[in-house]
Amino acid sequence: MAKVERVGGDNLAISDLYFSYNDELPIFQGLNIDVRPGEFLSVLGPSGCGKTTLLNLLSGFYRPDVGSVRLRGEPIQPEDPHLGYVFQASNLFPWLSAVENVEFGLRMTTRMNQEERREKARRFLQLVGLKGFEDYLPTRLSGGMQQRVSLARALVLEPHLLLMDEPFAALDAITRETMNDELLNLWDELGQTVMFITHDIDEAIYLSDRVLVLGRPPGGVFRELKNELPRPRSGPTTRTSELFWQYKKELITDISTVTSQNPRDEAEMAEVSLISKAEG
Amino acid sequence: MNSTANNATAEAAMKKPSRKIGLPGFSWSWLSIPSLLIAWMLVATQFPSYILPQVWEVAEEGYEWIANGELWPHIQASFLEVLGGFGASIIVAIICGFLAGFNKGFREYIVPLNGLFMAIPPIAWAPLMLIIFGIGYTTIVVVIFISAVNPMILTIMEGVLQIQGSEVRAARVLGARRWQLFVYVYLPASLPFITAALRIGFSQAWRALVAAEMIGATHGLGWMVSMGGEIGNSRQVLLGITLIGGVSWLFERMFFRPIEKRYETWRIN
Repeated sequence: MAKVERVGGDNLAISDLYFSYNDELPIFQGLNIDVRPGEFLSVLGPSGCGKTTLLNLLSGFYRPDVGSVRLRGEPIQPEDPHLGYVFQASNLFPWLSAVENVEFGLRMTTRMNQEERREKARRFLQLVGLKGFEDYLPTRLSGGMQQRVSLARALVLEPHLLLMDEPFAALDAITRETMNDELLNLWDELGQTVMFITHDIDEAIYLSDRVLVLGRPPGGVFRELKNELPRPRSGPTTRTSELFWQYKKELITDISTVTSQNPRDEAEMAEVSLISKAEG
Repeated sequence: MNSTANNATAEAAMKKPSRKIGLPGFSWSWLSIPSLLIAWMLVATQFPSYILPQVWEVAEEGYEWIANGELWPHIQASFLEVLGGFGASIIVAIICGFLAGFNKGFREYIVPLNGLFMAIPPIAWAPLMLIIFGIGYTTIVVVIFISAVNPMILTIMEGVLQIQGSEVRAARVLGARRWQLFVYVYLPASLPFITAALRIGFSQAWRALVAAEMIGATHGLGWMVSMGGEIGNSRQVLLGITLIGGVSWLFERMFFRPIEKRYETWRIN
C-alpha cells in the first residue's frame, strides 16, 4: 500500500443561495448548507431536484444569483487547487494513459518536474489499486477501473474538498460496493471534506456522516439525517444493522414524499430547463 | 487494500480480447489488384495495341520514360504543385477551422462560403486562373488550394465543435487555464479530426491537380495524360493514369493510414 500524507479538509459554506435558469422557475431559494472540515456529506434527491445544478454551483461553473458558495471562506472557482471533482462519467482524457491522466493536474498547477510528477501519479494509482495499469489507455480499462483513475486524478492534487457527482452510478452493484469501501478507506486516510451526490439511498447511508434530502425545486433541503452508524464501517455488519434499515426506511419515505410534492409535469419542465442551460 | 489490486487485475483479465481463429495474414484484398490486371489483359486481347495496349506494353512505356529521364521531372512538378497548394490549405484550414469552431460569429460567416465553394468543381476555376496567372505553377497551386481548403475547414470546425464539454470541464477542475486548455485539451482532442481533414484535403488536392494540369500546364502527371490523348498515344495515357493512382495510393499508405491507426485506439469511446 502506497504511503500518502493526510490532507485534511476545508469548511464549505453555502449561504442564502438563490439560483434560477434564465428567470425561469427558481431552482434554489435561500439554500443554506454548511459542511464541516473533514465531514462526509451525502446529498440525496430524485432526478430533477437540482443535484447537477448544485454541483455546478459548488464547483464554481455557475454563479449564484444571490448568496455565496465559499470554500475556507473564499468564493469558489473551478480552477481552485483545493477543489477535487469526480464526475459521473469518468471524463478521462482518452489520448492519455492512466498515469498521464493522473499527472494532468500536477502538470497544470505545479512546477514539479516530469519525474516527480510521474512518481506521485504512480503512488496515487497504486492507492486506488491500479498498480501495473499505469500505461493503459482509458478505453482499455473497465468502467470501475476508469472511475478509479478518475478518483486518483482528483486525489493527486490533494484537494481539501472532494465533490463527487454520482461517481459510481454507472457501475454494477458489486463493483459499486467495493468502490464504496475503497472510498471510505481513502477518506479515512486523507481526511478531506467530501460532498457526495447520489440517488442511491444505500450508498448515501453507508458512506456519510450526514445525509441531506433535496426537495423539488425550489425546495432546498427537505430533510437532514444525522448518521450515527459507527465507524469503521464494513459491508456485512453495517448494511445489515438495525440502524441502517431504520435510516433506509426513513429516507425511502422522505423521497416518496418529495417525489409526490409537485405535479410531475412541472418537475419535468424544471429538468428540461436544466438541460437547456447546461448545453447553452 | 491488497484486495483492491486483485479486483483490478480480475477486471482487466475479463477485458482481454479473445484470439481470433483462422489463417494468419490472409485477406481478400490481395486479390483486388491482380484481378483488375487480369481483366485488363483479357479485354486488351480484343483490341489492337494502339487503342488498348497490354499491361506489359504500358510497363515498357514506363521503362522508356524512366530510362530517358523524362518521367521524374513530371512527377516532381506534380509533387511540388501539391506541396504548395495543399500545404497552404493546411495552414489556412487549421486557423480558420479552429476560429470557426470557437467563434459562433465567424462560423456563421464562413460556413455558407465553404458550401458555395464546395459546390463548384475545381476544374471550373482553371480557365479563370489561366487568364489571371497564365500557364504554370501558380495557376495550378491556386486551383488546388481552392478545392482543398474548404472541406478541410469544415472538417476541422466540426471536430472542434465535437470536443466534449466534459473533457474541458475535467481539465478546468484540474486547474487548466485558457492557453493550457488549448494546448492540452483542444489540440490533442482535435488530432483525429485534423488527420481526417488532411486525408480529405489531399484527395481533393490530388484531383484538382490532375484536372488543372490537363488544362493549364506544360508538365506533370495530368499533362502526361492529356498530351497522350492529343497525340493518340494510349500507352502514355494509361501510364499517366496508373501513376496518378499509384502515387495517391502510396501517400495514403505511407502517411494517412499510420497516423490514423494511432488514434483508432482511443477514438472509440
